[in-house]
Amino acid sequence: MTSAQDYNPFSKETIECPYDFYAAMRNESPVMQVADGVFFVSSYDLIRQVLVDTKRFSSSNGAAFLNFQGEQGLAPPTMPPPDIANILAQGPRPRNTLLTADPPEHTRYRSLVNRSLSPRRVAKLEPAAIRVADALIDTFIDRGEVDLVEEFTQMVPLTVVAIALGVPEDQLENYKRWSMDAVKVLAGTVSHEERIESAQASVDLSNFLAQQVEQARKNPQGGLVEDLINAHMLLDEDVDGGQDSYRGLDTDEIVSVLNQLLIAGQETVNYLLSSTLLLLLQNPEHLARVEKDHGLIPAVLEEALRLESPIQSIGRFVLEDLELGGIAIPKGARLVILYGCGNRDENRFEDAATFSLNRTDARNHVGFGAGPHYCVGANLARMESRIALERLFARITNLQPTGELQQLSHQYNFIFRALNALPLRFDKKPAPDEEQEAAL
Amino acid sequence: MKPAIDLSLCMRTGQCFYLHPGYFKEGADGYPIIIKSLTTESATLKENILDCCPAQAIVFAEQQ
Repeated sequence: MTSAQDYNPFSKETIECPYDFYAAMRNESPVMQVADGVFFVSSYDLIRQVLVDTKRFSSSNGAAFLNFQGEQGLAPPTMPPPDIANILAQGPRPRNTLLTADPPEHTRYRSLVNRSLSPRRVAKLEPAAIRVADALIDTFIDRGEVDLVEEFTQMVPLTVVAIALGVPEDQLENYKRWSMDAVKVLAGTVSHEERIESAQASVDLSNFLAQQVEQARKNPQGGLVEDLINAHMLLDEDVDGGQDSYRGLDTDEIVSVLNQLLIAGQETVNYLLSSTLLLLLQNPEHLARVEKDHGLIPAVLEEALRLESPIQSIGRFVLEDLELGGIAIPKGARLVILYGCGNRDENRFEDAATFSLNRTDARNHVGFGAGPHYCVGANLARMESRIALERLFARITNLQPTGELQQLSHQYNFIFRALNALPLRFDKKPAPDEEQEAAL
Repeated sequence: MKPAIDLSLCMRTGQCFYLHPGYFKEGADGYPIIIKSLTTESATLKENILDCCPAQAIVFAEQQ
């Protein structure tokens, strides 16, 4: 087997399929230094150990973001250049809320946001998710072929979140354009021009969200924004930090939370859905089972989260000199937590590289992280993805890749596992009433 | 009214002992340990505790 040292972790080849590199790293050095002050953490147990320990491993100062520079690897986080900083200055004041906060500030945000995205709250969005998925399927079902990424997996989460936010009908096209442009910057290596476009879109989007929040304060309409405005009312004084000590979220804070929900939540669900469908196409016997039994969809999704984690890596900043996995790590170092690697750890999951619907422990993956920062949108992501697949399999069948599966490629992106496209041919299923007629 | 954990559902996200340290603490294996019963009849508190768990693994047994 090739040694972990022989790979360039940041090359296009490694990123297209990182799993041999991951396996070598877990075997040889679960904590591996890759640059001055930068360490990879690759085993399941060490990943969990870091994620739950917010006292020694910080998410603050934007250290959660890894500054990917292509073959050169990870640069230290930098301030935006002046032209981009000028654009960003036109938006609401950026706040470190969930993703980039540590306890105790994080605890306040998490307590306030949690109930707006709880399993029970998210279940109320299910009818909207069904409508969205069906409307999207309507646009391509008679064509017999589709790029599912462009026309479905990308659009489902975007549109569901727009509904949750109460985006007015006449603003929907703007909202879609802003949010798609704003997330472009996540695509790994992007040009300066793309960065400028993305910054402008994120400012427009943030200003729009700030307006939505201000309007909802004056004229409550229900929905996610209103939930976030009123979140402090739902805390109980009996809990540490009840409503007395947890003041409500101000508008800038809500905009920051919504931006994270949009940016972290929209594209990652797209990646999860497209990877799930690819895994099923690669494993036709499983696809056949799932098409017959939609009850297997949650298990399929958990297995996709484990095997093709949409977020492959996340950063932590080391707050004190310490030892991890037998390696001395200095204060100030940056850790790269490789979710996608820990999720294939043979010491945790039997036949870890195998796609299986029979695992009882699949949900123990770290695809959503673990500990205080466990993905706050996990309930929404699970619901949207489940509904999207249920509707798809209810309406189309005989899914076949248009070309060779091996030709499909992922974005050259160190952080996200993102299929570029998923072109398919398929057959339309007869509508339930037609099916009944045919049977008569 | 005492919370309980359905261990077949628990994913060890740690949200319960992070957000409600008065009622849960972390066990050695990362699974939660229940510290005490609710000291109030507050429906809000009960809902907050139920809603903090992404796995929906927290259950309240009927009053004994």
